[in-house]
Amino acid sequence: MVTIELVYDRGTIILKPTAGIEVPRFFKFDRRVNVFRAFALHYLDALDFFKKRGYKVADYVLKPIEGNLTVIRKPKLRDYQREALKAWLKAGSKGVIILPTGSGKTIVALAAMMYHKCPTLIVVPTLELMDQWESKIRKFFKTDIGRYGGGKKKLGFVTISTYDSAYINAEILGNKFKLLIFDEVHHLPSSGYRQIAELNAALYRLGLTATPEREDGLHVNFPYLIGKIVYYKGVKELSGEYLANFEVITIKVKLKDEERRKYRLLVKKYKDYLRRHGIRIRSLKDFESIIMKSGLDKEAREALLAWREARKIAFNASEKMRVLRELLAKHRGDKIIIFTENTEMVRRISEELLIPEITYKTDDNERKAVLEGFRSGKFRAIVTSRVLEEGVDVPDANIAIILSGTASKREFIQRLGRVLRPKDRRAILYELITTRTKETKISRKRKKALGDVNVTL
Amino acid sequence: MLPSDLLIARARGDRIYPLYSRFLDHELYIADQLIEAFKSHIGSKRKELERVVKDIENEAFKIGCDYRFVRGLVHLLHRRASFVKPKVKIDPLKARIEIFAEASRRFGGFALDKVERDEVLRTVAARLNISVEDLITAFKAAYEDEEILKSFNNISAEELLKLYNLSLTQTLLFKALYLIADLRISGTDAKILLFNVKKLGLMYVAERTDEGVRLYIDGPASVLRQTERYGTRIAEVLPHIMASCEWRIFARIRRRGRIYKFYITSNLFYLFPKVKLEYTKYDSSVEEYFHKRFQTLGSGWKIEREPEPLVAGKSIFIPDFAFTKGDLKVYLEIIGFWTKEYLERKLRKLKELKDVKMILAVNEKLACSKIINLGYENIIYFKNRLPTPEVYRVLRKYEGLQEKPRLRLRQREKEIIKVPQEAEAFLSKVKVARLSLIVAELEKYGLSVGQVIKLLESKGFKIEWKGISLENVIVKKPPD
Repeated sequence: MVTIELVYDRGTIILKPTAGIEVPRFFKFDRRVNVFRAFALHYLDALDFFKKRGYKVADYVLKPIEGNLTVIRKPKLRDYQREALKAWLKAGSKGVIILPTGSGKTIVALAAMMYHKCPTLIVVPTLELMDQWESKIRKFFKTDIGRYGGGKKKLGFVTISTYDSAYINAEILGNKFKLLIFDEVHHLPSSGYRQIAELNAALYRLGLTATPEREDGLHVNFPYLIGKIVYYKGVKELSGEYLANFEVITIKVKLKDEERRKYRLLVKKYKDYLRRHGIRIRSLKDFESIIMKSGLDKEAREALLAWREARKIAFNASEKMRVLRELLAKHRGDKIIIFTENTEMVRRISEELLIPEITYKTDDNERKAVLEGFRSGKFRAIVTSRVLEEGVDVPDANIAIILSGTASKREFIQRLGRVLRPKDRRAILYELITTRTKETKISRKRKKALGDVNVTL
Repeated sequence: MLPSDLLIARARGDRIYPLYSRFLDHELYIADQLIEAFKSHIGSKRKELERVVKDIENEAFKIGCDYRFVRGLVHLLHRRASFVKPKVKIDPLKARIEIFAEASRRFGGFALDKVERDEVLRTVAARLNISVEDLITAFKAAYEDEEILKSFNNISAEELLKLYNLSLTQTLLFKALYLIADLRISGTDAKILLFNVKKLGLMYVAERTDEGVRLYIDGPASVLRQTERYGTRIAEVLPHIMASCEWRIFARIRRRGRIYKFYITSNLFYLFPKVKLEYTKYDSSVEEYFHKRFQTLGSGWKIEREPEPLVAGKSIFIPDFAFTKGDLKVYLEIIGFWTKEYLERKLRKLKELKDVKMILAVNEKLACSKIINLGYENIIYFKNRLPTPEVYRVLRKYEGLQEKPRLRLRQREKEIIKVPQEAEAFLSKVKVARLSLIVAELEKYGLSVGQVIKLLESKGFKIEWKGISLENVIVKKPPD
């Protein structure tokens, strides 16, 4: 019988050419070192292929991290969570599970870990989520936890990594785990991050998200990178019974005369520039071309600065500060998250109103202390830019106030998701927009997302 | 290296090139202004420095400097500067947490007006026993722009612009799919270059050319799909390439969905800083001693240190010495830290160098596995110093002179290594560790690397080789 030696090499698997063997199509001949090479992703396919043909494989691919995982508390699954897990297991422990924010995706992942009890790599988008996963795991299991990201590089039987770190260190991580879990898996299919999955030999793969679709359409790569979509439940199906009822209230504010005058002037400057040069902004690319030109072209630079300044006026209209104070007065004692688009505003609110802030600049210790304090109720409000959008668990928050934001539907859904945790109280999302500015359009665009989740205003 | 959005490059047809500074007057002027700003702000707050820098940026724009150019320079200057947190009466984190908590406790989450705000601050200040001003200073100290510029490593305007040009090239290479370098290079520089290529997890294929060596550099997965994955690492190799006598670089760059060609040669050397490479990785005392001794031998052979690299198949050999006599040329390479597999690989490569005569001198003290007969005649094992007579004997063989060299393998004497109790105690605690760590510890008791390995083997430790560097060797305690 022919024996084939299969070896792991920095994110790929290689085999030496052997007379008389058939090599699957996903292997390519690497004439630099005279071996056949494939993405580590194809490890299982390769084994199947050789087994079917009766070759013997000397397998040196996986070097799983040693250790074990003891269950100290069994994750309790709701019906739909159990269904989701079953569907995933049935698909060969491969695939994507789609559940709305706040419906307990993490619990499903923990149940999958408990089922396999194997070395696991969990990939998450932010440091907050790393912390959160770590504390969840500690609650249910006793195991050695490693961390990659935020300046740390420690392997553990269960290792949690950011997408960035997992991408940079894909070669090192590629053969040490049997189970991969991607939280907020819609990040994965981008041209860089997809390599985390491609350069990894793990047998089992689980993707979790509430918002699988990508505007660039790359979500079609899920089956190749992780597996098919094995389970899907939308907000509609779960709201009421499992999730808080919610209400979206849009509050319109006006620019003050002085602000309005300035805003008009700036917008005119920007539009004049576009008209003079026959530029029409139809896509991000058109806009980028202005940014490109602004390096040396005085007019382009001034137009761009005018655009930014105008946007800032609309986003940070002084009336918003007044309305914010009113809303806060009304909700004293509630648990409130305030979102704004720019970090200057975050700082202003924090300094003036003495509300703890979290931005990408916030130091590690403070970030942890603030989140911890917010959870325990020591702090009743929190102000943030974009950091807290994704998946971070801030239990009991029932009021979200969006002072400013982009037109992104995903961002909107995620911000809404922060107050959509299971609880008895009704959740309210306030959205402040400045009338007769670009912001009305931005708001209309992002709220299209509500159509998808079926909300009554 | 710069953030990608500060890259200034032009594309013409399928070519792309960075817009280098040519040391024009206005560029030198702006560079000087920025350097002066950093120098004069030692002891000031970051936000004050930033304000001045912003002014310079606006001024520069008026005289025709791209703002990305200015920001690029500022980025490089920041790397030469260090900031410290301002002095405060109380830990900023503590001050902040206390204030936020007080606002929540007293007013349900926030201070909605000046009265409430003052009350919170007064209460906390009183509790912490400091003044309200000191409390506010501590509160603000958490913000980055309150930091103080502590020191700045000075640089001339011209050097800064050269550094900028290098960084600009590296930033362009971030998006490189692969790089080809034609080099005329010394053995030492080649060693450092290839050491770095490998350390970064890249791969190379070498080819002999008329002028020297051609290297194709990319990464393992490049053969499966061309990817920018290795771009940042390729960029890191660039200074090592520039250190060679003559170089020519070709790279493919992906930018905005298109693929461009990028060329540059050492004719433009004056645009870039002179690269000096640290050569501490290799201890050269063995070489030096041997070189001196051999010269006094009067053998009639001319000895040359660090001759040109040799291309064997797709990889490179970097001999330490070349001996010439008439038409005869024999090379010698000293092998430092090694394993059996490493030697075997070396020999396989050697076979591809058909016409080249090569002596391998193997340092037994740096052995990491048991010596076995490898079936290659021209191996000399040595312990402390490379023995000139033995080398000479091999050379004579090439001269066609008889006296078959007696190059038998030396039997390694059974060595019993005694170590003090402290060392034993240390070893008994080891479960899993890097070899480098154990060596560092046991060196205190006068053990060499070879002895440490023997000691570990005799104690039944499992030694896993993941590479030739001690860092990559893992020592594991056997289960009892």
